[in-house]
Amino acid sequence: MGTMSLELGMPGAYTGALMNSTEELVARVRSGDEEAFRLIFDRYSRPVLSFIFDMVGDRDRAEDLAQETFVRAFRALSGLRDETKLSTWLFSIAKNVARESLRARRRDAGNVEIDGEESFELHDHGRTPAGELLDKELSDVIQSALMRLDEDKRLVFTLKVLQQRSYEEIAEITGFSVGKLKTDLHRARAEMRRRIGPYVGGEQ
Amino acid sequence: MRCEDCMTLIEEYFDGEVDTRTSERMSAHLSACADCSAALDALSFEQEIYARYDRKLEVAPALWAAVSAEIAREPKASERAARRPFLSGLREAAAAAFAMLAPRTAFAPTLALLFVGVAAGALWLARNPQPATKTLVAENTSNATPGGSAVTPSEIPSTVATGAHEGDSVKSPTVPPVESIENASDKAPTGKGFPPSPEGARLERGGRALTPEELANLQLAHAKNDDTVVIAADEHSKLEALIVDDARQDAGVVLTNAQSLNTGEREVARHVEQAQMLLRSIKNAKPSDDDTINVAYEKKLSRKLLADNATLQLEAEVKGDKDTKQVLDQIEPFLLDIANMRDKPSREEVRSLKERVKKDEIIAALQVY
Repeated sequence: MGTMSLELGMPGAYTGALMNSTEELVARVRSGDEEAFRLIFDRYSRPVLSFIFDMVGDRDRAEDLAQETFVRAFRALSGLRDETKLSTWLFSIAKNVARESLRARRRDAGNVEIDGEESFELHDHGRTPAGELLDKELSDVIQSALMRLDEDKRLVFTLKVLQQRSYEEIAEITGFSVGKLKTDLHRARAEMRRRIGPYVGGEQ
Repeated sequence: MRCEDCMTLIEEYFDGEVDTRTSERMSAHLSACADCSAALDALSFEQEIYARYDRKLEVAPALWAAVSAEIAREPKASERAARRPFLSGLREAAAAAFAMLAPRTAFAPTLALLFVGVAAGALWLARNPQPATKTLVAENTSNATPGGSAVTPSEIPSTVATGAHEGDSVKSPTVPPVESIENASDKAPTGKGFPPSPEGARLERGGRALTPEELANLQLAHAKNDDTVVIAADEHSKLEALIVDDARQDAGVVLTNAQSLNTGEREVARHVEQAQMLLRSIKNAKPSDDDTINVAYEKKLSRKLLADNATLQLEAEVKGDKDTKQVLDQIEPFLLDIANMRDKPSREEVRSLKERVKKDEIIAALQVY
């Protein structure tokens, strides 16, 4: 720990971030060391931001919501029981923040969407072999397809396929039963396959 | 293994979520079956595609600056501990108090004393049925706070536990220190960490009872000073006081009407019950002549419950109450779907929701909760 403290605020501080265990970081934040929270932020901000972006589909809003996530996390850190599950806990907060935002947006827009589908249109890229489709275009296609999944399916698909979370972690983050998340994941994969397949020359 | 079985499990196998034995059986089958093997390759191909998904997202330095600025406005850790949400603070305090009680060798005699005290109290109450009897009993009454003056948390007795111990009180210059509490109920804390409602509990210090005015002053003073120091006692109802020793807080003593101990849980229970009723209503909804179903009322209720749900989710999250949070998370998507329905959706539109309600067995889950 002493070594870590020396590294803080200096070049190489991120090395310290990697070497600190989450338990240590949480304990330090609880004892009033706000620099430790910076290390938590450094470690998890990218995946949390990506996750929220995948849920809401809007860059600026994702940044605002990531900010909200970390502020809530800071406030609620004393309530975290199992420090080893900091990451899962952060994603759980991010999930709530994202869903609240989606809900608020639907209300504001006065939309009526039975399954939460958004009206994103895929551009016609034609049927192109995956290797030839530009990464930018491919990313657009994936994002558009993602936003057309309903919220539950998008949630589990994002957590499993894009964030590589285990079923157990996904169940903890979402509160879904493993049975439900397996079903949603299977359907989400099938929908994504159906929507992306034509653009990457795969089956379907 | 048959292809049918293999295909059922192929995604779980690909995700690394099957047990070792199943994994070995599937590996053996896949090495011999071209069709199943092709399905696995397709999943790998898809994963490669998704790995190329580039969101072009960077964590801008401004993001940390914004988070940092926001949390800089938060109270420091020590202050946060004193200002943490009332229920979670109380819960931890109650747990700490009972933890302190547990190892004491004098616990049994203390319980015996408690019992005698409770019996005496009950007898006394029976003989003095007027409302004034449900008050705090304290000594040093000449030091009682004059009408309405504020009392700081530090002026409140700082070490009072649920149960009578010697040396539990700390003298206060302005408030009669409380020495002991006698609880009519001395049951162990409930599974969720709350002690049971101390029916007929009273505070005692061998002196005279606090007058209603003194009690009211205490309430007012605490209400003014710190939201974590709450005194709630209704003069027109039986005083049910619970005093908790929170060794980790300097704020001192927390007095509350015992009924408010479980306020949070009751709120959740009421909320879950309403959600259950709502889902039942949707499940049993019948189409009218034009083949639509009027769900205007359900929509309205669902919107209200959604707002409550978000609040309760946050509270559960803060408290680390995983079970409650899980239930609330389960409810949320249903509430969301109902809230976003048209006032008169078609039978088909409602059917998918009904099927989900049935499939997820959400009503049964809520009933169990």
